[in-house]
Formats: sequence, C-alpha cells, structure tokens
Amino acid sequence: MTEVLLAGAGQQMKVFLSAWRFTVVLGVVQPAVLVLVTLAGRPDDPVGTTRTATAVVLTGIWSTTVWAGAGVLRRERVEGTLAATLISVRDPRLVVVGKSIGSSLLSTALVLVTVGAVLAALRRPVTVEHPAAFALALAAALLSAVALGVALSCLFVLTRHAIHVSSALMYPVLLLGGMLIPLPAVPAALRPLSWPVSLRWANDVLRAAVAGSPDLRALGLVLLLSAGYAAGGALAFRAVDRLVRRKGTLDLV
Amino acid sequence: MSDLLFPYAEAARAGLRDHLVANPYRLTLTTTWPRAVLQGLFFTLLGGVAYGPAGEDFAFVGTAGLILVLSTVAGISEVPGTDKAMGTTYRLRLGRPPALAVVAARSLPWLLEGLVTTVVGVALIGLVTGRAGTAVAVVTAVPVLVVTAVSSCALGLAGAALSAARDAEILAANALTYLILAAGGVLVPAGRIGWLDAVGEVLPVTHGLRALRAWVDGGAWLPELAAEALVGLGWWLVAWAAYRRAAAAARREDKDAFA
Repeated sequence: MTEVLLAGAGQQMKVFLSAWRFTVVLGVVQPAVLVLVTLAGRPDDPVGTTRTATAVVLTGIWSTTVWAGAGVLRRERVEGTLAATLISVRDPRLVVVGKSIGSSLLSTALVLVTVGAVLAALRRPVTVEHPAAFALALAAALLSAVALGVALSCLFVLTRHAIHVSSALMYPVLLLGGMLIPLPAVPAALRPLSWPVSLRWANDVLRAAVAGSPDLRALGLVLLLSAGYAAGGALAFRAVDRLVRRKGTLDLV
Repeated sequence: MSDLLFPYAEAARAGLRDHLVANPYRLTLTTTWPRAVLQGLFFTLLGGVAYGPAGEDFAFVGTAGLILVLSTVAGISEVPGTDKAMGTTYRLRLGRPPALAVVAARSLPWLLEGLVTTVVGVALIGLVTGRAGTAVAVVTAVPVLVVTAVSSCALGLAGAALSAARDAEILAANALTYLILAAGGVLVPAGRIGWLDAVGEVLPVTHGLRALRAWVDGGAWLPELAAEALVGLGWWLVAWAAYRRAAAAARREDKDAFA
C-alpha cells in the first residue's frame, strides 16, 4: 500500500512540475500578489503579518486543491490512462489518494517558499509562539486538502465542465473559510455555511498556534471534517466505478 | 455590407458561435456569473479588511475592473489559442485582412461578456454590500467601461501573442490579471507601493478605474479616460507588432509560435 501511495505521489509531483506554467500561477503568482496587496495596508506587526501569511498559505492550499488535486482523475482521462487505473491490480483508490498527496505536498511547499520569499523581500518578520502546534495544524490542513482533492477528483470526472466548476468553487470557500476575510466581515446570513469548511477551522488552529495556545477543538473539527470529505470521496468513487463497470456510461478517454 | 467590412463581420459571427459553443448560457448562469460575483465580493471585503471602510468603498469600484479583465484579459487568450490548437493560424496569415484584426473581431464576444458580467457582478455585489447607489453609478458609466474593456482586450491579445512561443498563454493571462489586481488600483490605493504604482501607469484598467471613480464622485473623468485610451492604443500596437513578428519568424526562420 505504501509503495502505491509513494509511486502515485511521486508521479503526480512530476506532472505538477511538468505543467510548470499552471504551477507558477497557483504556487507563485497568486500567493505573492495576495501577500503584497494585503500587507500593503497593514502596519509592520509580526503577529498580524504571520496571520496574513498563514491565511495566504491556506488560500494557496485551497486553490491548488481545487485546480490541481481535483484534476487527478480528469487528467488520467485526458491522457488515456483512466481505464487502466480503474481495472489495475492495485486498488485505484490508493492511486488517487497517492496522487492527491503528491499534489498537496508540492503545492503547499511552493506556496510556503513563495510567501516566505515575499515576506523576506518586504522585510516583514513573522512570529509563532508554538511551532509544534503550528506544524501539526499545517499537517492537518494538508490532510484535509488531500481528502478534499480525492472527493472533488471523483466528482469532476463525472462532468464535462470540471474546469468551470473548479473556477466557481474557489471563491465560496475563500469567503467562508475565515482566512483572509474574517468571518465577522461576511454577511451574517452566510456565516453558518462556514461550519463544514475545514480550512476555517485549520485557520483557527494556526492562529491559536501563532498566539501560543493550541486550539484542540478546532483541530478535532478539521480531522472530523476531513474524515467526512474522505467518506464523500469514497461514495463519489463508487459512483464512478458503477458508471464505468455496470452502466458503461462514463467517458474513459 | 461593403467588401471591406464583410470579412470582419464574418469573423465576429464565427467568434460568437465559437464562444457560445464553449460557453453555453447554462454555464454562464451557473458558473461564470457566480464566480465573478463571488470573486468581486471577496476582493471588496478584502479591501475593507486591509484598508478599512474607505478601502472597502475603494475596492468595490475596483472590482468592476477586476471582473472586466476576467473576460478581456484572461478569457480572451482562448481566441488565438484555438487557432493554435486547431493548426489554422496559417489561414489567418494567408488571408487578406490583417491577422490581428480578424482575431480582434473574433474576440468581440469576450468584450461583450466582460461588460455584461461586470454590470451583473457590480449590481449584485452592490446589493449585498449595501452600495446600490454606487453600483448604479458604476454600471451607467458606459463610455468608461467600454474604453477600459477595449484597452484591456489589447493587453489580453498582446499577452497571448507574446507567450505563444513558450506555450505559456495561460500563465501570461493569469499573471497579467493578477498584475492588474496588484498594480491597477483595483484594491491598493496609489502611494502604498511605489514600484507597483509605476507599473500600473502603463497597464490598462489603471486609468480606467480612476476615470470610473471620478465619474462616481461627479468629478472630471475625461482626462483619465483619455489616458486609458492612450495606454490601450499602446497595447494594440504591441499586439500588432507581436503578430507581425510571429508571422515573419514563421516565414523566414521556420519558427511558428502559433503552430
């Protein structure tokens, strides 16, 4: 199982790097611009800078999830390998999970490097009171991104307009995630919709770690929601499997 | 219709049909417009978070420019990209009308989509954020919106032409959109980041947004609109030069950026 996951992750990283133009937009241009435009209006305060930086990192994680991670199966179809993946000896779910891991890991690393470089260029220091909790929170956010990527990947292969759906999905989560836009700034009627967004809780955990007081409740919610996304992904994958094997109505190329 | 206009009218009609096939109204209603509204709302609120209540007012008008360029800079790169993917660029070059003129005619649906989406987006965001009055002022600034749309189309086509050789049209389109966000006076008021302000002076949308804000405030908008038109003209010249250079390289050096 580990072998399949690592192979899938490694292969997806190579795909990510080969599509470097796309990677540069999501992993470099977007986070760099968001850091610039947001910090330009803020005083030089390490805590505020760190909160902004973590919000941008989470924004980058979501952007790459919805565009790259969610496109794993769609890419397989474009390249003509979806059928082979679905009927292979190895469990295809492991392949999808492995690729989602690779995509999320590499994109998060790229976003972190970009945000760090911009902060260094702007000479804005950051501060984290509880680095271990911060690292744990980031790992939880990554886990959530992997689960989401798998779920969306299965859903996106069921539609011909996946690119448009990716495009439309991005901003609801950015608005409801409480990352760059604090929830009090969002219209009151929309705020309850933020509860099922794991990145909202991941942001809370990261902010708590910055302040030095770990938020275990929020961490628990991130993990719980990630499990929910994984369950949704399993259901979506069964739908894909059913359409391919029993009904024969899903395009494999 | 005169022989002079007929090819361009046909190109515009073909462009419209291509556009409607790739972007049916169902997609426009369920994804294009919602995305524009949500993106505009996000950046309007971000303006408030970063720069206070005045920043939110500033960003609200700025999102008109941002929503516009989603079509006129990012989306429009599909037009020359389609010829490249289909291998039909040589037909444009063999034809009598200049290639850029034909591509521009085929890009008219993107210009129209940009204008319509901007009106819809600004209206809805204005309703949600309690700025209905400002929204009305923005959407009735027709000359400003049209000139800004035309000038930003020039940037979109120039970006696509200059990046075609490296298959980097998507990167160029998105990078230019984000550059306008950062330097075009969409979110960041002038005077915050000097070098960004300097870059913004030569980008479309910057002067258009200043004209738009002047229009909304009841001030003199014509000088900034004239500046926007001049910047747009400059980018049309860049696009024209890029297409001519690509055609010359294809003929003399066997290096076709659009193949």
